[in-house]
Amino acid sequence: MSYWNEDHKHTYWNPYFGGFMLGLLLIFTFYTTGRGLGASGAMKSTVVFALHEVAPTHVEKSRYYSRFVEKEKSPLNTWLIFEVLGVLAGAFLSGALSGRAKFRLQHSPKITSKRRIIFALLGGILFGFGSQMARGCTSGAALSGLSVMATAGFLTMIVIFGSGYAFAYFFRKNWI
Amino acid sequence: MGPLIPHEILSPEWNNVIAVFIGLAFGFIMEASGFSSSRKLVGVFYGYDFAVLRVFFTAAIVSMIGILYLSKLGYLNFDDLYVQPTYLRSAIIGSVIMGLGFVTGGFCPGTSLCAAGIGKLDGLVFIIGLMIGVVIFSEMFPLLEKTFNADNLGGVTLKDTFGISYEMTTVLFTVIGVIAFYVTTIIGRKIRNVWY
Amino acid sequence: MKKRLLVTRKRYIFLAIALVASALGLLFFDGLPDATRLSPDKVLLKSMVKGHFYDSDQIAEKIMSGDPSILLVDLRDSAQYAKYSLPGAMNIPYGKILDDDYVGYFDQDQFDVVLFSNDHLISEQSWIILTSKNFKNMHVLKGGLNEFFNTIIRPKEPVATAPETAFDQYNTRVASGYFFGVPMPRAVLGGESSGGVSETGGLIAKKKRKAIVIRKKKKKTVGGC
Repeated sequence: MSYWNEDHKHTYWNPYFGGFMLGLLLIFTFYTTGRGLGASGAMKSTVVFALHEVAPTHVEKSRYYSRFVEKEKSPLNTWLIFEVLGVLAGAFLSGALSGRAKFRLQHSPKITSKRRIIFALLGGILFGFGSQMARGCTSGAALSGLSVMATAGFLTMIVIFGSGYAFAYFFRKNWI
Repeated sequence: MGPLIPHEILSPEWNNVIAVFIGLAFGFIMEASGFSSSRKLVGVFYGYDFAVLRVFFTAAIVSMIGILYLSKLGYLNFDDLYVQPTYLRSAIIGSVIMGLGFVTGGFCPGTSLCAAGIGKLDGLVFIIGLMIGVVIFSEMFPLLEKTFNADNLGGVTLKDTFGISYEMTTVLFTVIGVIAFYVTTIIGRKIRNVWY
Repeated sequence: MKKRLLVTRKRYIFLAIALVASALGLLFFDGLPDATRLSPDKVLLKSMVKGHFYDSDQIAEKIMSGDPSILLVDLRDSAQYAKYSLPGAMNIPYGKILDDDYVGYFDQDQFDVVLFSNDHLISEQSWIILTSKNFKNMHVLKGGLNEFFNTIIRPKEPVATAPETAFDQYNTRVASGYFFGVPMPRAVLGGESSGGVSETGGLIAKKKRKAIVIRKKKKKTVGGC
């Protein structure tokens, strides 16, 4: 039972080991499916699905949504949706095994919960917008792109982290 | 030989089953490496935790080397792998916005799913934000369409763009990665510990 | 404490060297020979063994028994194919065997592909091309349609002193001839056989089989976020 001790809550894998495992997973993913990992595409599919239920004509008329609506195939029936369901379950499994899975809001002790929620929402909106613009997020565009030496992968990685460092100064109060 | 499913060595029905298992492993690895904690993730920008950089670079290096060896041994046809198209302008603009979103929200889409998976409410809020962001983008699409489709270079790799061979790219990237690991370790020792 | 730190550091240095070394290895490792090709000497060896020939009797029997495992491929041009061909044969002109539309018929492992033309020269050449791409189960009809015509459609009666097996074979051939549309009793066809099958006109019934699609599909990989 010692594994469930409080001590283990913040015991994460050695990052190099984690990276090695993630690398192997990427190789396996490319070997079986010919494509990489992803995440933001699943959010897009969910949005398209939800809006298609609520306002089908709006979705079919929209120049962007309509790209992802096919006849006789639910927008949710995509590879990424299945993968993302796996991600949720996998994360829960790992969290539960090390006693990290519980409802809580994590933020720096110097800021309020309300501030954290607002900034998380804002960050999500920006990331959602940006990932659509750049056709992929850190996992789909940058990490998977790097594995196959895609120019877009290198470009996305460099710009995301560069922009992160450039803006980091303005948000330092939220984190440290 | 590979990739197995596009070559129909494995039937396409397996695609979604495999997706779930790949997702499971992906989520598990990210969570176990600490990617469910926004404070750990953002540490890379403030120098108190370089886990993101280490995991990300190690993963990229390992998969680059592995995929090239597999294709050289004849197990994998490199040309059949999906290479996303490079739209110069929209990739840069989108990535700048994503970087801003990263320091604001503390997650990226994959890691926010991880956080939501173990019950972190900020992760859940971030996901809601992502969806709102997608809606905003789609509603504004008529205005953005020109930028979105500008400077399309097609599905190019570094070999096409700069004429560097895949092997040389991998070697350079590996060396840069190892140097980055070393430098960040030095920096990490100098920066005061931040509790998170 | 300090000693432990030193050990970890050594370990990391070792791992870093291993990583860089495996990356550098890529520069010097040219990969295995392409598995999708067969080296010329192996193709030559295979072609000298002659194991890839089917003779007319074997093919006639396979056609009559409706053997589903064979795929007859007529390599002549479509005009000649339109006049006559073997029953169930499909037409892939000689020059098009490696076209995207047709290569799928050869790049598979479900059927024994039997190549034929008027003689077996063209089919033998095609066989070499296809085998060097490492396609399996390629065969050639020995002597081509001319030989088929001379043995099955117009078999030569053996001389009286011939062994009994020769007569058995003759009778089988005559019987097969009926299957391939030789009028019963066997009509004497005009001209000598030297003219080849072209003189038989529509004699060899051409029951056209619907082209079965056995192409190895290659789906374009899709992805993206």
